[in-house]
Amino acid sequence: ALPASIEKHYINDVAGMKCKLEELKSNLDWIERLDTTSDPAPAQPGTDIQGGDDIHNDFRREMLFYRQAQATVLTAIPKLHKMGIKTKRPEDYFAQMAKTDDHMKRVRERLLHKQLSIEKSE
Amino acid sequence: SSDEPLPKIKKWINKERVLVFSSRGVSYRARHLMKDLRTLMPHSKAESKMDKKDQLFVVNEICEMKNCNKCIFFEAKKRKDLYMWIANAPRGPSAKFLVENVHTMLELKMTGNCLKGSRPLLSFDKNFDTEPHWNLLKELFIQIFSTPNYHPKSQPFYDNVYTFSIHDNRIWFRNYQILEEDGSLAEIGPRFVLNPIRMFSGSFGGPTLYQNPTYVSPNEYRRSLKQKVAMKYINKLN
Repeated sequence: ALPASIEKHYINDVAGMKCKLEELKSNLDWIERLDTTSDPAPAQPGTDIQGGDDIHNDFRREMLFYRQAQATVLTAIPKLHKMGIKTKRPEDYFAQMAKTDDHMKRVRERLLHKQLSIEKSE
Repeated sequence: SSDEPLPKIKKWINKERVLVFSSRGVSYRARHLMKDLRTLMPHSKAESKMDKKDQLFVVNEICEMKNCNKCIFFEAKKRKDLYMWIANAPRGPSAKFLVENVHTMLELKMTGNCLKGSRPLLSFDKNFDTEPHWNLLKELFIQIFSTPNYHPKSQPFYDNVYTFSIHDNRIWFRNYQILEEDGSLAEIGPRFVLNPIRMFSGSFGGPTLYQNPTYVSPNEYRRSLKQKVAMKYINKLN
């Protein structure tokens, strides 16, 4: 039998990956890609969100993602405006949404129900 | 407003098409996740489930038949473990992930909503610029998830953000609705975590570029859990 502790070798082909990246890269403008790399936006004053290993605390982790998205919105939207692109949907523009109206109605009902049950228990 | 004359139709140059499909035997949760991705990506194409008996490189042929140059393929094992492949077909590279902690768009906790087919802003964590494998994955994600400008099925407004963040050696995906442009958001869903396993220089094969040293397969993980329980009595005796 094989000895139990064979040192496993993990491949990390840095040169190969760099080469593939060059091959994969396309020379399209930013408007085709819309990517932004950002640090999380500063936390709201009054909330105690400090660094450290937040990843196993659901609330803090979600806050981190939320702030990252926020930072992206705050850089990407002005960038689009500068290019003369409208970003906001007009009030009278209707189109199919990702979630159906029926689904959104159920979401609202659930929220309402939750609020009521909190009020009742108080 | 809608009284203004329609602007001239602009050119759609980026002909990226993504094939989104799965193997047979995926769970209902995975199926819904796949459906969500198809709703969110107007540049995606669907295909019927692939037989388990088929070899993986057949996916390349299916992509070619469907005119797709990118692919997201969900592979189910043991009816509970879900793997996701992302690939640039047919030249590569490709990457395989274990998908963890899936929450679909249909869940009622998430209050956000966005136009079907609006082009997402992509938000990446700074960690994506630290190592070559993250770099390569970032480029793949950008090319797969960004909707081409002026795509016929897309909407000309910007109302959602996808975030990709690296924590705990995994990639966490979130999708938010932009409520106000000053940065207030609401989550739309879906949520999932991608644990990288391996990256290949070809599409669904070829030489390995990267192997994740911290990856523990779900089989091994379950085994270790069982072993812990099995040792309980022996530990008690000692």
